[in-house]
Amino acid sequence: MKKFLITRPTHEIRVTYLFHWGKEILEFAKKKSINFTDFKNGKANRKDVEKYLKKQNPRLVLFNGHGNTSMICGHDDEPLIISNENEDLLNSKITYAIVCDAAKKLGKNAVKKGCDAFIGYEGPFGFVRDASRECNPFKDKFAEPFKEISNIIVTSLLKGDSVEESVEKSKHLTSELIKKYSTSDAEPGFKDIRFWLFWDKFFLNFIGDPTAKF
Amino acid sequence: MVDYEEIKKLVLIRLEAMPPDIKVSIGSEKDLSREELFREVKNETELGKLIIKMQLEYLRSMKKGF
Repeated sequence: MKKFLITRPTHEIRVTYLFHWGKEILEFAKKKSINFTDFKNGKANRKDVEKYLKKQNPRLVLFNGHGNTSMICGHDDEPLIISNENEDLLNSKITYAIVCDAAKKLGKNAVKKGCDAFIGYEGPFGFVRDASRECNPFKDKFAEPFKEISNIIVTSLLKGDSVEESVEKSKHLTSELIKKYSTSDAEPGFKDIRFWLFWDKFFLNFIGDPTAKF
Repeated sequence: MVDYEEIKKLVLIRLEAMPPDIKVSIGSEKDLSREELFREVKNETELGKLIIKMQLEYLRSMKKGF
């Protein structure tokens, strides 16, 4: 049975948003009876993640957190995957990293070392928040579209779509949302998030096999 | 050819008009209010320059209908 691993650190507000976005993905995986492992909070650490990747060999890995061109971090910004150190752990896997800049170098290196496909951002990942809703990310209307354009990548993969199809679905949805928020009856504030939706669409990319499937 | 200064001016106008309850989480270090975004662009920090560059891309994409 194919396995799916998700890491969900919670050490600060921005990654806590991603933690909450991940809940919907896990509910979806449960409904589809997909075998998943959720490394949340402090469990999103290097030792546990490395051990799981080596021993359980999940087909799909979703990293939520901070990082840069050469690393993906977990809880308390502990580096989990480092370029030229342990990216070979992503061998034969599909990886999606909601991590700034990681597709730029780390993603490319991971694919060179056997990762089937690496989906990520070639620039800083960004999202808009309603400053008055920080205590309840689920009710944050400005963050909601960003959750949608990111989560659709994972739900598409879990449904059996290819990497290319999943990324295209996200880009298409982003364009549709931008158009929706461009109409004269769009709620105030939503016009301002169009630029940031475009930002994520622009930087979203994948490296590796476009036909790779979960 | 679009003038860099014109784009910068446009970004600053758009940021000024942004509702004050919006915050933009960007990158590992940045979590910016409207005023902070405005300063980043005005002072042409690394992020400010990227925002200006992306505004140009945004306008190009808008012409194509996204």
